[in-house]
Amino acid sequence: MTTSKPAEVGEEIASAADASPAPRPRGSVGELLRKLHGLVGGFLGAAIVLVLLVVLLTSTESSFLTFGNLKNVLITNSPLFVVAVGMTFVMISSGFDLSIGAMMAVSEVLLWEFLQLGVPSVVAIALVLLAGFLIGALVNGALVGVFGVNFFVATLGSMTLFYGIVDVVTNGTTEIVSSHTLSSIGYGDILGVPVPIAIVLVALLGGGFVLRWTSFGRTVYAVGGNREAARLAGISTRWVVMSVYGIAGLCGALAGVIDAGRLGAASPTDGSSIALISGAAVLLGGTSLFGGVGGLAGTIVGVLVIAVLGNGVNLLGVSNYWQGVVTGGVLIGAILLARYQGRGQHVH
Amino acid sequence: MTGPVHSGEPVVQLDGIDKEFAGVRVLQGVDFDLCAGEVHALVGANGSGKSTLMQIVYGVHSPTRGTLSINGEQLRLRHPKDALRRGIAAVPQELPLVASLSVAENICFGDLPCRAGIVRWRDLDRRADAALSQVDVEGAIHPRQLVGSLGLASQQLVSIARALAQGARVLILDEPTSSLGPEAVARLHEVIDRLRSEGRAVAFISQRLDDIVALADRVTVLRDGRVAGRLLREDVTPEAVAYLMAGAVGATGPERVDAKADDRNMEVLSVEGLPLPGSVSGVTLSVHCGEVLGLAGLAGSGTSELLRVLYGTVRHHKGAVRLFQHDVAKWPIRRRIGAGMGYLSGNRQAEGLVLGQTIEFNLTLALNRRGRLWPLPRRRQARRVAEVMEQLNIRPRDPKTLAVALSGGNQQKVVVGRWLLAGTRLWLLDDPTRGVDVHARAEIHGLIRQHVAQGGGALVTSSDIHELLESCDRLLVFSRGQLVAQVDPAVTGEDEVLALAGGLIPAA
Repeated sequence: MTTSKPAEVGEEIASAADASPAPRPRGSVGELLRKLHGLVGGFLGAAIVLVLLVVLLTSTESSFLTFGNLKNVLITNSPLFVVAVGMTFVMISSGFDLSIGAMMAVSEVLLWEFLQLGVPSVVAIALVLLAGFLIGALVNGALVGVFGVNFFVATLGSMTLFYGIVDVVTNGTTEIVSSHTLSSIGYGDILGVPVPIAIVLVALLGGGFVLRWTSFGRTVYAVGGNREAARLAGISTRWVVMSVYGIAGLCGALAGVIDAGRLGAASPTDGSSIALISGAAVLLGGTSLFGGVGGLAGTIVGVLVIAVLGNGVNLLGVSNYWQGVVTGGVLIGAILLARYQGRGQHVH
Repeated sequence: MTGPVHSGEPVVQLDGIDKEFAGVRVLQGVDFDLCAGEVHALVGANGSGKSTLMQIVYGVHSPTRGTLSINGEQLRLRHPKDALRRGIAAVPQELPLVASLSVAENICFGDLPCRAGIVRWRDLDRRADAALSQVDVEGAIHPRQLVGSLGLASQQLVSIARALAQGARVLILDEPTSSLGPEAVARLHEVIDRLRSEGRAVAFISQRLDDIVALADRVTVLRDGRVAGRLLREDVTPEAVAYLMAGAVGATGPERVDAKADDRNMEVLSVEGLPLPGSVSGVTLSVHCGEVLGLAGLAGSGTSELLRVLYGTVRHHKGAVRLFQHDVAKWPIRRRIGAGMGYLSGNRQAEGLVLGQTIEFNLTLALNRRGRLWPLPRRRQARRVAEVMEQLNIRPRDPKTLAVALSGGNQQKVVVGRWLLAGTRLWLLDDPTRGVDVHARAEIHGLIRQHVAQGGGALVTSSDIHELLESCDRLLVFSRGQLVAQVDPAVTGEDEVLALAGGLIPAA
């Protein structure tokens, strides 16, 4: 990803945006600036922070900008990427899924159960993904979309429920999951691309296509932006909400499959912090907590900020205890930067 | 500049005000003043700078150039609190009330009578009562009532009472009548009259000619951020104001184009025995091709509810609704749209638009309602969007403009345009010209006329009965959920319709 370019021009564009709705600069340059602003507008703060981080780490740590390190960063954070895709859908629909990490644990344990029963691993994985979608849609989705329960309450409840069930099934112990297919998901290559990265690419491209190019994507934005207006325009808001939580469940399950492949184990406590971290990444990426705006391009930048930050803290040899302090501080800074940058646009 | 009508120095005086937002000039050399004991109306089309000018008076914005004087003292207001300290208070369009608190708490909000940090409820009630008695002529509002349980008209009175309790000598009302029924408007006029006679200064923004004619001592008309003209009491006539507001556009009704006679016989919609709150026998009506059917009634008469029931937002168990011979009574909204029905909510911001999205997104919202997973026909939709924007004269013409950035009139055109774009035959329009300037109003009526001339039908409500009489082919009058009369707009006067709606003439 080359992110340095948009951030550099971003500064100039921000001032151009201040001038709107004055006559825009004519000609191809003005048009190009406008388009770029439309593209990076929502996550300019995050993009700037990412560029600063990359510059800082490149100049201080020779091992940062190496192919091996970057590949590692992407692989380590592949579950976060996948979860963030699902979270983007939910947040655009003006919701939040606290249970998305618990879904990782559920899917790992389900996978372990299927393999115990002798189900072929490819079939088991497919079943787990289907289960993730259905559980998300029929538990969280139905609670929020059909029964009108607040998303925070609904997914807090389902998160607790999922972890509880997983504990009951496993007696709280981590179970070994071993299969050839799973280890090739964790460590294999497709056309030279590590499988976790390939999965991330598929999730991003698929999710991006759906959000941007299909009428289903439009309905997600509409439901998040103004639910009553969407309903009066004939959109079935309950189906949209159910689908969106289904997609989040699917992404949680997919992340669980990646983790099972990486670790060779089904952990009943996996994903316990990923819901909030992925939510922070999506927010950093310019998707509003109130729904209706945002997209996956911003989410990519948001996840990269968190990923590079974690890697940098490790490379610099900062104590584990300080990692949270640094990460939290930078997150707040980036979000403040995004707000500051966005202020000019809201004055009439 | 016109001198003040009333003797004495103006309480508020603005001289040569310029205001720029990020390089865009919103106001240019505007002079405006306000004297004690007068009502000064500020009128102008959407985007002419009225609200900005008033916001300068009550401390939301500072002028880029020019001076603001209060009681002869030149100063700078940095915050609405500064303005309030000098006796200037505003009642904005979005009322600043907390629905879950009582009337009394809202009135004394920020200044609750306390002893040692504990609220003294009896003092609170007394103070609230004192303020309320100045505005609530009929004593219909109780201080202990929750604000959320009040109607819009009463909430507005509470907001005014609150301003008075804060010691306001100067009141700024931003479009106070735009969402009120005729009764509430009359009551508000009375209140404003009273404030004037107590020697307070009232500035109000309005787009309604009847408000201005009934109340204003002086009128200042803004157009594109400049003063386009001023009128004194004796010159305030609807024609003069309309002329100044819109330039060449007068308040003339839309031209009528009659559809072919045989089309007229085809029923678009027929309704039988549809129950409404308060109605005994249910509503029976029909809409034909090429017809604009108006629904007139006072606030609470059930005309808005009727449209919602017809559209299927509210379930009903009795009554038949036939749309082009389909029995749609049990259909969800999605299917009704598919069969050719489209509804425009009276509250475009809350229920019509996705404000954070583009014009294009909002125009195609109903078209994309099914939420399919295959690619959108982007190019075809973009072409239709461009056509509709051209036809409706939506400005700016860029389909990527966010809905939130549009003026009220253009927002309204977008929500109407949604059904034009979808090719919907029957339009259910709840107050389609609410809060819209004269120019856009004429354009919207022209659009409805054109729609029915091409074989469509429309059901229209409005709080402005004069407007209904001008724009409809037939008018049904409702009173308390009951259909009381059908009148011919060509031969019926506004007074007669009002009398029917108010239940003064028994239904024939």
